[in-house]
Amino acid sequence: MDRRDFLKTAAGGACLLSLSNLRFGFERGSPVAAFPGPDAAWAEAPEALHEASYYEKRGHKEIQCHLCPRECIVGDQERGYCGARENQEGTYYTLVYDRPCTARPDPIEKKPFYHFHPRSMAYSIATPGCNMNCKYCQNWEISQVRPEQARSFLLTPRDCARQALDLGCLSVAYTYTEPVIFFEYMAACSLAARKAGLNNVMISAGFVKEQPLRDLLPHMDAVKIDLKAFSDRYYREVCRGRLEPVLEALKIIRQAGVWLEIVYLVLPTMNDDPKEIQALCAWIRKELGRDVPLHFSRFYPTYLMKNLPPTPVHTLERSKEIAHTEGLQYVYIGNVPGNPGENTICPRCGARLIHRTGYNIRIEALRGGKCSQCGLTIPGVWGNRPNKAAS
Amino acid sequence: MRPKTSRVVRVKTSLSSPERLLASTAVLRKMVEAGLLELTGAADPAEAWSRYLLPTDVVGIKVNCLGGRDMCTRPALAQATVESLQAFGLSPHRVLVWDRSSRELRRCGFSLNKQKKGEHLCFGTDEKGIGYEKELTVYGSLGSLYSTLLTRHTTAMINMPVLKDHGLCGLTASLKNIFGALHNPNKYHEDRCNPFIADAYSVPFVRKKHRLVICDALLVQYKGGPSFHPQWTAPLGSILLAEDPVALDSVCAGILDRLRARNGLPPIEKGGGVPAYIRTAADPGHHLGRYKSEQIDLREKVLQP
Repeated sequence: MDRRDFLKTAAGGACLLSLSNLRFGFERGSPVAAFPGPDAAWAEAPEALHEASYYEKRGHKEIQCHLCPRECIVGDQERGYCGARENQEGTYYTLVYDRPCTARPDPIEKKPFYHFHPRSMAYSIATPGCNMNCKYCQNWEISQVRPEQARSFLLTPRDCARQALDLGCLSVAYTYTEPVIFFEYMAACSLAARKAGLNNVMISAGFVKEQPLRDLLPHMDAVKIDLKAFSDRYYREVCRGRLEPVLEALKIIRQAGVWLEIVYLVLPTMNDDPKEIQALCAWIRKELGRDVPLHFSRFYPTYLMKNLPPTPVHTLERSKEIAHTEGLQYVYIGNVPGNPGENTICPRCGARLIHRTGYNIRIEALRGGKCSQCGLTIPGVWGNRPNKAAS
Repeated sequence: MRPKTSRVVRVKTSLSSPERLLASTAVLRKMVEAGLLELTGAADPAEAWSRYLLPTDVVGIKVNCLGGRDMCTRPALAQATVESLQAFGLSPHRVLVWDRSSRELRRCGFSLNKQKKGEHLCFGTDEKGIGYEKELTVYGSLGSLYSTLLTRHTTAMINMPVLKDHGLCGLTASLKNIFGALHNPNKYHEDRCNPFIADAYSVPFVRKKHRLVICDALLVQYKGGPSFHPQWTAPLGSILLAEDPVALDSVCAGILDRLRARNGLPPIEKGGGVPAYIRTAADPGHHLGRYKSEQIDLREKVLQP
């Protein structure tokens, strides 16, 4: 997809905007809700058909999707693995354009981004569906269902940006499920958000083909990748994905200069082997650089993974130590509120730059993106303004 | 004691026009009842039904509507079965014809009925107040929510698939029809749907409610399935009946392979034989039935209209 196509995708959304707004207004007789909370705000939205990007027609009404490395071959009336795209008479449609199931403001630290506009809010949207099936998915009730099985509502890209601004958010976050599967909607929202002077941040597993990723990155200000493990076997057996495309995606994101943070959810006995952690950290240092923040997050039993206990805190602390030994400079412990591993520490002088307890954030020895004690420049996107001017 | 073979009955008709057959409830009812008698050895249809059902059962007939009006379980076959069940003594409101969605049922020509008295019920899982279970069923490789039409609203299941080639797993007939009861079938198309299909059919409440398969092989899609492609269909004018879904699917695999060979196509499974998921369904871990030809007692009946 070149820039022209990307804009065309978004323009399609913009064309729908007026009609969508009219329908919303007439049917509800009220302005667009700030964000859906009460049942009344949920729309019995008719099926949202919007032709998908990145697929090819193969004859006999069969198509092949090229959005993610799965490259589903989909027959007429069937859906891809994600469940959010359907072949109708040989044309592939996304069923979730304009139809998020979640839209709410969140602290940016929840994503988590620790080096990107700390203490700011991100208007967080998601649609149903996912191109993986992680056995521990904490959002499986929206990620592992088909669009018609979730309560979705109408939210045009322009309304998304407007609501983000109204709610005092600095960014729009594409999150909760896998935003790659709502690529067309994300593309349109990211353009609307930019126009409104907002940042765009994507929270993804990075299981995406190179071309769509490259097309998307110029419109993103930050990307967080859930690196599930450093083993292809784990990817296949636990997540129904593959490791290699994710590693490639990480390199592409880093090369594109988009702010990148990585989360590694540590599952006891599954991906917590010190050797695996060491190999992971060595790879990050070599391929991405030592200043990419890495978050070791605590697992809690859920979905299909209820037979494991929560990750012991000492396992997370051990992983953090390994990462430091491997030379990574910004390593965090997540999902353990109050743990000192949440804080940002200056790697040169040891000053506490940002103090965190859950979502209580206090900026301490960080001034203008530098350590106020030793003057070291701390990598990240700091301040409380969008980092790119509205176009 | 469990018999050493699984009986599969194929009933054919010599009715020359497939269009007439597809619409003829009377002929189809004769075929269903003839098949039942051959399957059970009973003296009459009521006695045959009594081997599988109680008059107090709420019977769900799980049809398959994915292929649209031209390649779905024919409404006339479902209607013929409903009429036979009513003659057996089941009141109309104790019979439900169902699939994933009412929209798909309607598209295939089924008349929806959610509450009208005196007629059998017909609607999809997506109807208001129905939906899927809230708790996941986990079995082997499977983690899914099942339709409450299967888990709560019916006590017995007659599996009524349509025989089709399936590009991803080889064929779709009785075992794969259970995917229509899951909230996330799109997650199970990898690895030729193996072992997902066998796992989905093995959960205790499916085993318990499964009574019988009546497979629509009136017009068969032997290539290009599961969607409809008229150039690759064959008017077989047959239905197949079995208690054992594995045996029935194994017979169906043979039917497809013969049709494909006749049309210069390779077998559905590379190198021949039944698709892997059928073998998995028969393995000791699943024990859903038999697939080897020497274990199948295949009987054929030709019905004169």
